[in-house]
Amino acid sequence: MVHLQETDLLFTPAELEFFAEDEEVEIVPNFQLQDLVNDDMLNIAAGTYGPFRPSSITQVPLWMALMLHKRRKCRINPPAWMAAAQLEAVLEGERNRPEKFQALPFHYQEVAHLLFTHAKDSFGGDLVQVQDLVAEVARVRRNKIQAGLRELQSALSAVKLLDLGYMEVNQIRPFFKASLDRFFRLLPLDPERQEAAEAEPTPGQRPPPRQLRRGT
Amino acid sequence: MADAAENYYDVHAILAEETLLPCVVLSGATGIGRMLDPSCDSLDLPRRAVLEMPLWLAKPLAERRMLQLRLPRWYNERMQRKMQAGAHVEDLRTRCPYFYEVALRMDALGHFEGLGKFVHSSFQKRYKDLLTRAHAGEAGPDATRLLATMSVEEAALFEAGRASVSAFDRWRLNGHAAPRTRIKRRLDGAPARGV
Repeated sequence: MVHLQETDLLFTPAELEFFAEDEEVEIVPNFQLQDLVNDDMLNIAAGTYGPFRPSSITQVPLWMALMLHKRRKCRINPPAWMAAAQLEAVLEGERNRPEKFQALPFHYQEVAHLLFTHAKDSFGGDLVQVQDLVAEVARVRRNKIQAGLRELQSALSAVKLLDLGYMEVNQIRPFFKASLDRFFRLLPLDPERQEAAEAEPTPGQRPPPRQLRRGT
Repeated sequence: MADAAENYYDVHAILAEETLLPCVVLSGATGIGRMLDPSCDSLDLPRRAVLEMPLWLAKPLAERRMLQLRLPRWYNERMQRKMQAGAHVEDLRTRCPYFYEVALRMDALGHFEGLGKFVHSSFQKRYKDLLTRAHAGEAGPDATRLLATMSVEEAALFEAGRASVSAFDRWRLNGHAAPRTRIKRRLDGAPARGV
């Protein structure tokens, strides 16, 4: 019997947030990295970033951006998809096309959460609007996922859920996995499967194997 | 006596096999009548006697054709009609805590007309309800009330869904408790003012 080890989630949301910190964002530093040898670039194990010069845009991982932002060393430019107009278009698309999910970054919830928690001032006056839009998009998508999962009716049926975010996948994983296990376990009782098994020829009724040419 | 294919020490497999099933003794038994059926008149169990046996004992006896299993009341026609009417409101926990597992074992033991179809469609219907409720983030007394009507297999599903949703909510709110909407109800049943 398959029973609940699934409560131990594969990844906790905090772990997903950690993965999401590798996403790159644009920052505008307000300091100069005094390093004449490397031309103001930063060489670390994760890669080479920079150059760090005041008022010049550069790409860094989110964890570095948040760290610099905490020390008031940079301004974070929110990613393009987090612009209010862009989010409104996404929300519109989510609502109008119930069969399809809009393409959003894989870590969209995590990135949004991190920026809303640690770098509120990056959004200026749009903060509340953007927060609301992200929450609304997440809510609409959650309802769509639920509607998709309702289609599941036996171990032989399939559910098509493309373009989900990691957080969304992780959230439905325990229930979805356990349900599929349960449906699979009940497979011997499934009347459709029994009909299918009867339609299939049993091994004894298969056409006899082709005669191989005898050796000379 | 769990199946060889399963984990021998799985406590749920063992408990499922403790379920008492009605059966008809085909061969009778000498000397152990009182042991199998305390209400038996003599020491010998007569042929065609009807009694209840746990699944683990009924299984090997049925395989040797010493007894015949009957459909227990939680799979009978009356129950089938009830499930047809509203699968999600029926209380499976008090009827048979291992509703699905017992059906699987019984189906493997003999042919019961319509049993497989009934149990499979019951799960299909109840699955939809479980899906919504597991992810609705219900907690406390509501969840306890729901859990009390689910079979053990369904409760495992419910807990799995609830665990992921509550972990997500905790992260989303940065460790703060999720806001609960409290609805004040007036004793005279008039609509409440404010939420």
